[in-house]
Amino acid sequence: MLFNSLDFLIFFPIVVFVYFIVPKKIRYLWLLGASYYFYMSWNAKYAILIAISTIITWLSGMLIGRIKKTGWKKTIVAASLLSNLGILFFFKYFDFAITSLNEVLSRFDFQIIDRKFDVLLPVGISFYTFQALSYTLDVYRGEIEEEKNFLKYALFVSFFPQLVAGPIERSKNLVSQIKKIETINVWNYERIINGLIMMAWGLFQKMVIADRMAIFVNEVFDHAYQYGTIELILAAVGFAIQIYCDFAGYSTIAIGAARVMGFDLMENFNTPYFATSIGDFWHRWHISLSSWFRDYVYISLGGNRCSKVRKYVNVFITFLVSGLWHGASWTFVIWGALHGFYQIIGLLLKPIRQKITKIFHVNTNAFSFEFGQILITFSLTTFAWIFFRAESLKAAITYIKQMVTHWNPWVLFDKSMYAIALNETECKVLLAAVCFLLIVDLLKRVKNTNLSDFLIQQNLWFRWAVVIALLMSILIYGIYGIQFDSTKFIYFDF
Amino acid sequence: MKKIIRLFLFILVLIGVFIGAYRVLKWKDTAGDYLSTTTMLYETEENTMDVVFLGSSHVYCAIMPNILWETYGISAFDMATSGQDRESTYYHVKEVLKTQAPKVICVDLGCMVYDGYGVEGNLYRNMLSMKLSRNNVELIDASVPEEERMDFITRWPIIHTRYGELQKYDFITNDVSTFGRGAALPLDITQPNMDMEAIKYKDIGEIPEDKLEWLERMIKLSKDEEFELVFFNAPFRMDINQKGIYNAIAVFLEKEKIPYIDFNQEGMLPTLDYASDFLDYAHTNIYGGTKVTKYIGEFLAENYELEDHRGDELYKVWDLDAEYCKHYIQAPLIATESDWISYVNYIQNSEGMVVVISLDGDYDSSSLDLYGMLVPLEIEGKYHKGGKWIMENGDFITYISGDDMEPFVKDIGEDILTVQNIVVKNDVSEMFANIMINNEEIGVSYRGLTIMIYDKILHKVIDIRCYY
Repeated sequence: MLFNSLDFLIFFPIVVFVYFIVPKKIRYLWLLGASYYFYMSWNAKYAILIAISTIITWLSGMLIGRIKKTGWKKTIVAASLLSNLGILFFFKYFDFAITSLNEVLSRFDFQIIDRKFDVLLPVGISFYTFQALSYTLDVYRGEIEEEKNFLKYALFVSFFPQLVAGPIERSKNLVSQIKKIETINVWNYERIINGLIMMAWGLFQKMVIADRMAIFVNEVFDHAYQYGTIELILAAVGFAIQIYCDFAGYSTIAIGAARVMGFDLMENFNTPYFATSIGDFWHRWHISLSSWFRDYVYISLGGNRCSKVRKYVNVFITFLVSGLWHGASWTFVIWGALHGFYQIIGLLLKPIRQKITKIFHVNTNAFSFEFGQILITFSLTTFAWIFFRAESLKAAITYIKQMVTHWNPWVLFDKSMYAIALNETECKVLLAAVCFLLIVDLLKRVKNTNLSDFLIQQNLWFRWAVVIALLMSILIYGIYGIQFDSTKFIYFDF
Repeated sequence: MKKIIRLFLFILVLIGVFIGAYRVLKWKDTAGDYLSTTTMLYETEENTMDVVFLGSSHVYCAIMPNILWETYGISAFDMATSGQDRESTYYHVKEVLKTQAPKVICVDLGCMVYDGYGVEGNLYRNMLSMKLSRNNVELIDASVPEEERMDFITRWPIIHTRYGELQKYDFITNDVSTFGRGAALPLDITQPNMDMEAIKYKDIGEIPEDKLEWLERMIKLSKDEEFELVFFNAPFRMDINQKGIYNAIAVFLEKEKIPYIDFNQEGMLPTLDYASDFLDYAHTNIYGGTKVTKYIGEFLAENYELEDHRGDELYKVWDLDAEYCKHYIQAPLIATESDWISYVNYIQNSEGMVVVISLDGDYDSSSLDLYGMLVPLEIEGKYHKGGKWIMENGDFITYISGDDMEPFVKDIGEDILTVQNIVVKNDVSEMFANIMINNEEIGVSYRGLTIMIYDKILHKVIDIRCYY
């Protein structure tokens, strides 16, 4: 059930209405049932996997909470990690591992392994596995107490707004809210309106920008050999915007939906393309995942409390794993490696950069300096996105090769851009929508407020005008209906 | 309470904006100049149609209600849509019966040899032109794959993408007087490669079960709703297998005592000329359509007591349609007329037209006797000074001398005509014709005698020519 589907348009109001009126004590049961229904609407069988993951991590939490001996605790954590990651590996990486192994074997003339595991990747498996694991690790670290009510814990793992594409909630935040579900004042008008505006903004990002941009991006990436520098640069930038609007759009809908029901989910995106460095980018992009890797991988590897070389190795490993988390393909590994490489080079060059700014008396407080940093960071992340989006490593290399060798600036003036995939009207709609996105992100960057909070503070006529314009834009300019085979949210596959 | 009122008001405003947007974006037959036959049906006075023809493009090419009106005063209507299949025909009959009580309903059987919609636009045309009602939902259920039905019923998922093609008539409603009676009146001629063996073929084939069921359903509907049902088969190219089915249908309908006119039978319409009466292999043109319509007109006049409604104010739309068709048929004759005196005759009898006659540039040097050509037009003015003469309904209305730089502006129905002498700056001796419709120059700038004819009924320039 996609957020941008008629099914969800029916499902969500029913769930919310019933949730508002049922006795407080059974609210969590209703949400748990709704969450499993939501998940099973993709594939009922895969509910078994999420149930297994829930049982294992809940039991591990209970055991860790009761056992005193550290050794046993470690064993239980390891068992929980191994079993959960084992399921994840089996469904997500088994084929990739076999294919990669076969490539190596075939080079040495060994017989290849003919054992493919041909099933669909369970939607959102990486998200709920990481969320469930965070609970085991948090209980082990003593950061939270174990949740004794299994069904409440099951709701934490399967809470439908963020179940299939995050944010990957921390047990510290969400379990405690579920614990107090009876105390939530559900009929809070401002909160409900705020949540609904967030959902509308998320849908706008997804349906008006991301899905429209995808039409152009898909055409150029699928036929990169036909295009020159300008189209390829625009498609790479287009993909940067597409994936941002797709993923941030999903997160915004999820946060908004949870807010309507009285839950506060963590912020997942904070104007990532205004980042002034790659490190800063990862503090702003998919915050719930990057902080998960920081807390449970990077710190577990030793973090920065070690030698410089070890620290760089830790950074690189963390990003490699992060790349692999995004998909079972070498393109994701390279994407992760590139980000690790950017980080390490950035750290290594830091003294030189500081020296240069000193020698040339560069005013680092000036807007131009910050703007330059933003441009460089955006260029680097956009370049890395080429690997993320490309179908294969070979395709990514072809793309880059074509981009640097086929200089064709005239296409910006001869209107041939309109013949690629989006006609002039569609391009204008897209441009206007991206400009609106830029305004909203600037608002966040400068005033540190999101669209819904900003609108709630405005006069009624302005608030109504913006919300009605937003809703009508989704209805008219959103990509949906018969003519369009809805692109599901990109991150569902991760 | 205040918050609930505010929320209620917000929803009201939102609904208002949505309805406004829906009206603009709703499906309209843009390929038919925003005039779908279903819209024509809805805009027609209730209980005025005596004969209704249903079917696909075969029907709107072959049946010309204007001929039935002018000859017999029969108020006929082509409830035909491109690609109209059997289900669409059935439900369109039901739609017609909601507001009309025709004595005779003639159904074309072209739909017996195809299933569904080959062209996606035709699916929209057949499903979405009809007003949303139970009948429409039943048609959608019968025609659209299950997963797409809600899109067709709610319509918005389909029509919201129309923002890229909006035009004038998406924002304003077309004048009811411009609605015709459903005929297309194609003028082009193509000689189709007809299968003459099929036309002569006499063997009886087998009617497929679903098609037989449909025939029975149509017959039942005619009995339930008490109208006379006539089946016909407009001329088109078919193969012998298809002809075998039609022969079987003829036998079946004879048994059921339902009249059936098959124009694809040898000797059925001897005057039909395959060299000149077809638009393409599947459709007759205006010349073939005239022959088919006359035949059907005679059949209707002989077999049914149909009232002559000519002169009745209630049936004015048929008069307007006949006038429109007359202009439509006459326009190409005027444009291709090469004899000057005959052309002048058209101009002098140009009811419903505006004519601009323009003498420009070095017309004195012309090899033609341009002044002499102007004489039979009986227009006032000094020919040697050049300039523009404007006529309306065959009458001279004004003259702009060649040295008069003031523009002449006239409202000609939906359009604005502007006529002006213009001096080209780099060569003051050259004067050019400048005739504009809605601020857009029509034709090219010529020297000598330029004539432009604008038809106010057709809302377009039907001829522009130059003599030098």
